[in-house]
Amino acid sequence: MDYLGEFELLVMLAVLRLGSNAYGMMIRREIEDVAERSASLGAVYTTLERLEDKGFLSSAVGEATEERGGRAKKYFKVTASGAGAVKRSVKSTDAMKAGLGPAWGGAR
Amino acid sequence: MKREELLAEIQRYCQRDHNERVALFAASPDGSRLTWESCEMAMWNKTNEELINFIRREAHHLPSEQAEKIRQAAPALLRGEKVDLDAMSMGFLLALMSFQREVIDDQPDPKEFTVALKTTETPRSPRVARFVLFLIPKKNREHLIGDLEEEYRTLIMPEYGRRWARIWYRGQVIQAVGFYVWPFVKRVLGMAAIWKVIGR
Repeated sequence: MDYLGEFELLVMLAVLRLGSNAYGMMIRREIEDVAERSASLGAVYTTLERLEDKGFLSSAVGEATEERGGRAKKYFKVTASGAGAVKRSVKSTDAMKAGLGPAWGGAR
Repeated sequence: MKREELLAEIQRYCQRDHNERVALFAASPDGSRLTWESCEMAMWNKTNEELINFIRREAHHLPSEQAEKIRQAAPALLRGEKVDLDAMSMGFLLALMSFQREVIDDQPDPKEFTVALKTTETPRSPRVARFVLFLIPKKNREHLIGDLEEEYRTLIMPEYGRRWARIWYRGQVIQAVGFYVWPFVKRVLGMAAIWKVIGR
């Protein structure tokens, strides 16, 4: 069973949040805006490729627009096994967090 | 120039076949193809500000020589002199002037006009950086370059200006190439270390 690394989890969550508009640039910005963590496009793409190889993401080539210099977008979608991996990661993080005090985001 | 005249002017030059895409983009920011009638309707529904943004955005796609010609011709035109421009450049110039006039209550200010014309520079990403991107594997190269270009042109350049945008672009390129090249370098170094051990 493959597990998700920290950055992999962020990318997966960004893809889930963006829905049908999940492509490289938007994923990068989503991570920067929501997670407040800087991410280069290179890091995002290498992670997307890795997740795709693991079968957690599927991709489809989209339309080419003028502002992209006529280059096509590549949209990503979370697969069923990807969704399962996200749930497992979030669950294990929550479980580890639960024993901690409120200062660390725990319940106590 | 009245709004009706202005739209007629845009329609006139947009309908030239080589410039059709301008009309299409006017009506559809997502670049989907529409008929001229739909474009016209969409343009009528746009606010002045949206129309100005459209012209400015489209001016970015002009070849740099054409943008330069327009810039040079602008002062002469403001002085009421005749200018020698091709139809497409003239269309852009008229559109920019008209929007400018409308915004500043029919009192064209040459300074303001120059500012507007500055946007006609094509926001090309740094050539060397684009060349370096060819080190990235073919699988995602085009998509990655496309994403970089889109962010550079639509978000970074308008927000931070040309100089910082170019620095940002180069930084992204270095990082992107680094991410792809580093595993390969590591593998080569690993092989070299193994070879060294075996060779002893």
